[in-house]
Amino acid sequence: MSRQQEREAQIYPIVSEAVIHNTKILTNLQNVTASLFGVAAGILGLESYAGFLFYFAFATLVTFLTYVLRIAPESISAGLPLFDTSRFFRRAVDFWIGAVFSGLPGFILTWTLFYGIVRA
Amino acid sequence: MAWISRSIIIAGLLLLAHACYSVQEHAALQSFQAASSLTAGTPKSSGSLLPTDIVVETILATVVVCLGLIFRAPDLRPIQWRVWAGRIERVCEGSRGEPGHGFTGNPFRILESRPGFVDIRKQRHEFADWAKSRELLVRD
Repeated sequence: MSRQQEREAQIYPIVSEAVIHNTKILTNLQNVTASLFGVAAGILGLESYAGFLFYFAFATLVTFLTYVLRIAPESISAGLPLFDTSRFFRRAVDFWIGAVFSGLPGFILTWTLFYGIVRA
Repeated sequence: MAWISRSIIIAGLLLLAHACYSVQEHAALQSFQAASSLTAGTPKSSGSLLPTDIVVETILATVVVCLGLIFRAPDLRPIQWRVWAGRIERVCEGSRGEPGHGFTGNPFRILESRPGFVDIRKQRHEFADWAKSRELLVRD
């Protein structure tokens, strides 16, 4: 941590409980929706790259919808610019990319399961 | 508000279950047709593409359930101390906050009632004035 960042943290302290709370909510949401996407991909009978593409497209959609529905009303009324999540997450990467990969195993699980069930 | 998101999720799951059942039936029908065409001796190129309505239904159901889940998610908390503490002071002033929501009341309560911040000289002056005024009243 550079001196500049350290100074920033001293001037604007951060509530670590709130950070943990927000990360937990986001991870929960991504995990549940990931298994849902697995169900959908299995029903559609997607294979190999198409399935992963499906997952990443929908995970991005969910992240975007979360921003629009849950974060934007509060953060824009607080005067932050568009697509700025610094009110709820320390770094932008934590929100936009961080949780996407945590849902991948759940996605593959339900994807293969439903592919097998539907086309048995 | 909770029942709205819950009913959205349930509707989406019903749609998804219906799509799943439709695909299963479609696959069964396809394999049956393939088998019967084999026995009839007329090989048919079975393009096992799903009907468009099932694809649309599946994607729609997924999006609907996602919307329900996003609506149902608990509120995020601001991470900056000043925003967070300011909101707590405004929201649960005196109510000590609800347990289980992570709020433990005003975090600066101790500071606000700390005796070290009492201006004792000013209070002594005030008391002296008050005592004087009472004395005057009694004398009258």
